[in-house]
Amino acid sequence: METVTEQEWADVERTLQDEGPYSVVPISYSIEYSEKMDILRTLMKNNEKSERALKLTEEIIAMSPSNYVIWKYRQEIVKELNVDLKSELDLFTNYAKENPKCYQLWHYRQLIIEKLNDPLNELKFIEEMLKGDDLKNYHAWSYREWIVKHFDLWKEEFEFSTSMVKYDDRNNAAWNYRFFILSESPYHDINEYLKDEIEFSKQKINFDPTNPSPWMYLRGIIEKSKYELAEFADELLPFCEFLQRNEFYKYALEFQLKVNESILKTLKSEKEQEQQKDICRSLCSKLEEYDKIRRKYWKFIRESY
Amino acid sequence: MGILDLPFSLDEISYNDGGIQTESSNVQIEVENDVKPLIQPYHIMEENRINSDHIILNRHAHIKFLRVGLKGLSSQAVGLDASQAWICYWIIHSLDLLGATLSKSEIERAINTLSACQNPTGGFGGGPYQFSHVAPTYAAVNTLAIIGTEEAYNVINREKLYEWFMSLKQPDGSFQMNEGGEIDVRGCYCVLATAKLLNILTPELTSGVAEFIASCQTYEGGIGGYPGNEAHGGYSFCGLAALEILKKTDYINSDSLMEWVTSCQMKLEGGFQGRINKLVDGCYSFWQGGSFPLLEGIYTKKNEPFDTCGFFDREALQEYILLCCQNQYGGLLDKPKKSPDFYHTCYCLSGLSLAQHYYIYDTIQDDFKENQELTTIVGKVSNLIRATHPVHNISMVKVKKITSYFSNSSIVNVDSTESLASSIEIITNKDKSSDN
Ligand SMILES: [Zn+2]
Repeated sequence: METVTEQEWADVERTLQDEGPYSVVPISYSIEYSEKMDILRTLMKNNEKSERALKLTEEIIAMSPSNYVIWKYRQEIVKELNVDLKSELDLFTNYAKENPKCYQLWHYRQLIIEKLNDPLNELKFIEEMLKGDDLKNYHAWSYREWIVKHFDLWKEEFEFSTSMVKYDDRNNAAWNYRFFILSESPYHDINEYLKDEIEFSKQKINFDPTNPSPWMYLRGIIEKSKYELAEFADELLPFCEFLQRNEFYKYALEFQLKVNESILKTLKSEKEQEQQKDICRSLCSKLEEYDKIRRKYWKFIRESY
Repeated sequence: MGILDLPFSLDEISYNDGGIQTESSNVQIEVENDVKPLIQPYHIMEENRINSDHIILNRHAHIKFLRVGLKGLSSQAVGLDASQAWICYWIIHSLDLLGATLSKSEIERAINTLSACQNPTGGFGGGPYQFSHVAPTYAAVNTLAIIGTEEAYNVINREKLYEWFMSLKQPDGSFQMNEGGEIDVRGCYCVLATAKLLNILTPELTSGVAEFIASCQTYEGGIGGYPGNEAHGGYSFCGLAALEILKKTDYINSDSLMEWVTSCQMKLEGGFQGRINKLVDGCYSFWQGGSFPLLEGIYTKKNEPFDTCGFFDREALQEYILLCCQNQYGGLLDKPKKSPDFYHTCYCLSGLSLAQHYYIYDTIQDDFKENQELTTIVGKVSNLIRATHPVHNISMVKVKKITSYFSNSSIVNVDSTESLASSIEIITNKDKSSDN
């Protein structure tokens, strides 16, 4: 009995993959997949750009979404047939939800949006992808950065980052995004935001001092501004000390060390420098004890002053 | 020192959410609960502690798992249809690290398959009849290097490959993964590592790459896939290894990269996370672990003394791989309860190799070499596997062999009469010397 595909594609010769028995890692494809691929190879060879070819690419993508060859071919057909790009985008929205980590799906989206020269509802779509599947999806965040930069959509993104940090304070991708907005956006001056951002980070640290994300952000944002960490020593060192009145926190110790290293750079006299180095060394010793897995690293830093 | 010999109970070093539950903390606690029973029996504070000499690498089971895959994959692998060159690399590199020798027929069949992946326009596709892509090109060339025969080397069309690489180059120095494809730090590494092995690393190919990679280093110290992206273990390795190939590691802040990558080793699990506040994953044993020999090499070059046993806990990493990432029927995995696959088998074993062997940077040879006195083996001595090269991730000997094979071949650039003239000169000089 003939399969459906055989009748529909009676006029098309088949191009077999034909690695022969003499190969490694051959995949025992399902009959459906290998039939469709045999046809597709012929279509690609003949450069056929037709409705039926378009349909076939979708069927194959459904079975193997990371096959970059099919995506490229589809892209060419879509261009040739003048397919409505918005419907093309809608078509793959569900595939994206089923394959949220597929490089090709995200890249294809980006190409369509670039062609349309319209960000449509992509920001909302990305938010749904993040909240519906994985708050840390690397592709989704990276795509969002591209959209925002490409279409100059910076203005509301700072608020978005706040809402995403609130959603899960330990989502480092959201913190990185916040940093991206403040350091890249032409509408946000990092120096103007600095005071608020220090407050924001401190509040999140108070909430959970064992969360590395706000600690790293706090350091990063100050270092990126026109100020040095040392200039905030009067505020931030007592903050770390108060936080640790009952127990030590490795991220707090690490932060104290960074502030003290920054102070060290400002000192001129050798005697003052030596005293400051002692402070740094003793913080390293504490870290060797409270951040055991990194004890070799902290020993190296201690001996490097 | 490892986790097993730490005189603290496992509960003491466990994650504490401080009473504040979020999605991140819940999954972290779940993973720790899966890990603890696997390491507990070997822990120093356990009453009837099993001696850690009993920890074994299931070498034969893994070899069997890999060989079955080499013969063929089930229909469920259809999603890997465009990754056949990768599967070849994952399997053949793993077998090589485990010390398994490929049979004559396995070698011939692998060469056949990889030849079928190569395109006349240059480069390799993910499978036969697939157009070229940078990632499978790296995988295919690495695999041919591991096979290491002249026949394998001769599969590679260097001239066409070079032309194709150049066609992917972007004004900012980076590379597209294929014509019209995405751009990220992976592409830089795959192109440069391949070009280095084949001796086609020209100034035209390398220009601007270091600047692009440097622009991907984030405030955390690690490197992201593209400027603005979050620091990530895979991209950090790719970026750093690419800079090492370029001899331009000074383009990034290596101190902050070291600080970040050390912070990614998990205090209870012993393995690495790929990003801050993410879960441990066996494959980051290599992606994160791989940065250490490179960073240590930078300190050696800068003449900054450091403790001879390196910067991360080599024992703890081996404990994680051996106790938490082995499937008893063969293959290695991401984390307990996951199924084994070829990708995780490859990168768990590569990470194990880096944790066992100790590399030093030889400033005279301008390459890494092993210091065998500092080899560290967790468990049975027979757990020792071959040393992988920290830049290329193929065994050290195979890197030497292929680079010396191609060291005398040059790229003839037909566009430039000057280089054409000089290469003719080299050829004629060669003839003269062979006459003598
Ligand atoms: Zn993994």
